[in-house]
Amino acid sequence: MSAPAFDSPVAKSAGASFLRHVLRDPATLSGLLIASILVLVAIFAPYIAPYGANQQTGAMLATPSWEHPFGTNFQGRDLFSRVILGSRNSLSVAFPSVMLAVAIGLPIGLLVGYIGGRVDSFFLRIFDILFALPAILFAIALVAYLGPSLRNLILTIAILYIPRVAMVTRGPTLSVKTREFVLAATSFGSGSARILRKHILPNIMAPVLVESSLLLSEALLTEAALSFLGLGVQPPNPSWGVDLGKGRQFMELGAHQVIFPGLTIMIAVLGFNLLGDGLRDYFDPRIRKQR
Amino acid sequence: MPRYILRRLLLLIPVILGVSFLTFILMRIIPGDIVTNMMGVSAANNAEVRLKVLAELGLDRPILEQYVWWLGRIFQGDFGYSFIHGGPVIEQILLRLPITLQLGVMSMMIAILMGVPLGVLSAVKRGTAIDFSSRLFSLLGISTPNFFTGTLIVVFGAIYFPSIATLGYVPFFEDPLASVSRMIWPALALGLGVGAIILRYTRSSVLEVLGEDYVRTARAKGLSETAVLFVHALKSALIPIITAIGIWSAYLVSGAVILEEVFAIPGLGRLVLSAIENRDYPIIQGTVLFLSLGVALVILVADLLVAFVDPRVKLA
Repeated sequence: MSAPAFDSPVAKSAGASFLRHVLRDPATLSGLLIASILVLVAIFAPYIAPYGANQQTGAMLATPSWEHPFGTNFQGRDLFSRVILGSRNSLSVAFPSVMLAVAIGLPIGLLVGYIGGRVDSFFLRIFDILFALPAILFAIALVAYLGPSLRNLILTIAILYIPRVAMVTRGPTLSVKTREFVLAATSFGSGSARILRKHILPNIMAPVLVESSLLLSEALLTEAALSFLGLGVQPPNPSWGVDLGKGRQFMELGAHQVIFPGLTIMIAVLGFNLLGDGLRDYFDPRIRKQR
Repeated sequence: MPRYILRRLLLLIPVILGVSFLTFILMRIIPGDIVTNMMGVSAANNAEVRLKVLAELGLDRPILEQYVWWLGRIFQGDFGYSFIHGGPVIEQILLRLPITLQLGVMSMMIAILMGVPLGVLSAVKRGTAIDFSSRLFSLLGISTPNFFTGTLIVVFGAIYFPSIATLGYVPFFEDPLASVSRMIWPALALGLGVGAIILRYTRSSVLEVLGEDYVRTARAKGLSETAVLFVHALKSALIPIITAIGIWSAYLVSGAVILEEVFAIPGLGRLVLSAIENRDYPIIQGTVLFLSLGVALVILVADLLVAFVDPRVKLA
C-alpha cells in the first residue's frame, strides 16, 4: 500500500504528453469526458434544465417521455431538471472539500516527510488511527453534531480526507528529499523553504493529483450518501442523493424515480475513478507495464 | 511471535486513546448552547435541570479532566445514558450489535467469495475476455453506491417479486434460514462493492507474485500451471489480501449504517440515525466509539492472522 515512487522529474510538456496518453487509453478518455461534461453541466445548469428544480409540471409520477426524459417525481417535479441542477450542489461540495483537504494535507505531508525522524513516526501513528475510522459513520456523526448545511458538509468531508492527502504527500517527499538534485541545492546554500517549493513540490504533485481525482469520486459518494440519509443537502434543494432517497417513498409507482438519480451518481463517480486511474497509469509507468 | 502480538496489542493503546478523544470532541462541537440543543429552551432556562444535564455529561469540569473521567467510565462499560430510551447506552448497543454483526459477516463472506476467485481468475487469464469483463465488473462495483444497489434491490423486488421479502429482520436464533434469506439482500448490496475492491486488489497481488523469480523456478521445474498457482503463488498472494480485508472492515461498517436504513434493519446504523433525529447525543457518541473500536480490533486480528501465516512478519 506504499505510495509509488515517481522517478522522472516532471516533464516540461506534461499537458501535451498527458493528452497523447489519454487519446491512446479509452478508459482515461471516457473518465476525462465524463468529468468535463459534469463540470460544464454544473456551470450551465440553469440554461440546460427545461424546468425549475421545484417547478410543478402538472404531471405527477410521469414515466420518462420526450417532455420529461427522466420522468417526474411524486410532487410533479421534472427529474431531469433536478438532476441537472443537482450537479451544482454535488460538485460544490466535492470540489471545495477536496481542495480544502489538499490545502491543509499537502503542507502537513510535505513538512512531515521533509523533517522525518520522530515527527514523521508521530504523525504516521496519528494517520494510522484516522485511517481505521469508518469514514461515513464519522461524517454522519460530525454532521449530526454540527447540523446539516453545505458549509458543514464541506468541512466534514475535508477533515476526513486531510490524512489521505498528507499520506500520499509524505511518501514521495521522503524519497525525493534524498535525491541528488536536492542535495545539490542544499550544498549551494538553498534554504529549506526554497528547496521545498522549488525542488520537492514539483516532483510530488503527481501522486497528489492522482489522489485528488480519486478523492473527488469519494467526496461525490459521501455527499450523496449523507444527502440520501437526509443529513446532507436539504430538500427541496436538488441533489442526486436527496432525489434517490425521496424516490423510495413511492417506489412501487415508478422505478424511474430512483434509477436516474442513482445512475447519475454512479456515472459521476465512475468518471473521476477512471480519470484517477488513468492519471496514475500515466505518472507511474511501472503499473502501465504491468497491465 | 508472542513479542509481536504484545507489540501489536500495545499499539492498540494509542489507537483507543485517539479514537476515543475524537469521539469525545464530538460532544464539544455542537454549535450554540448544549443544554438548549438537547433539552429545548424551557429546560435550558431551568437552572436545576441545567446543572443536572451538565453534571450528567461531565461538562461542569475542566476539559482534560472531563476526558479522563469520561474515558474511565468507558473502560467500565459505562457509555452514558440514552436521553430517549432512558436506559444505559451500552444496553442499546449490545441489543443491536448481533444484527449489524450478521450483516457485516454475511457481506464480507459474499465479498470474499466473489472477489478472491474472480481476482485470481482475472490475473491468470490476463488480457483475455474473462479478465476484461471481470475488471469492468469490478470498476462498476466500485463506482456504484451501495445505497443505490440496495434501493434497486428493494424497488425491483417490490415491483416484480412481491412474494420475496427483502425488508426487515428475522432474529438468527429464532429462524436461521429465514434470517439468512432475508439478510442476503442487504448483504449482497454491501458485499458487491467490497467484493469489487477485493477483486481488483487480488488481481494485482496475484499478478505481482506471478512475476516473481520463485514462480518462474517452479514453472521451470516443470510443475503444472495449477500446481504453480495453488502451491506457490496463491500462498504469498493472499497475505496482502488478508491485511486489506481488515482495513476494509471500516468501509463495511459505514456501508452497514446506510443499508440498515434502506432495508429497515433495526441494527446499530438505525440506532444512530434515529438518535440523530431525536438528538440523543449519548447514543450517537457511544455507537460511533463502539464501532470505531470494533474496526480497530478487526484490523488487529487481520494483522495477527498475517503474522501467523507469514514468517517474515515476526522479524519486524
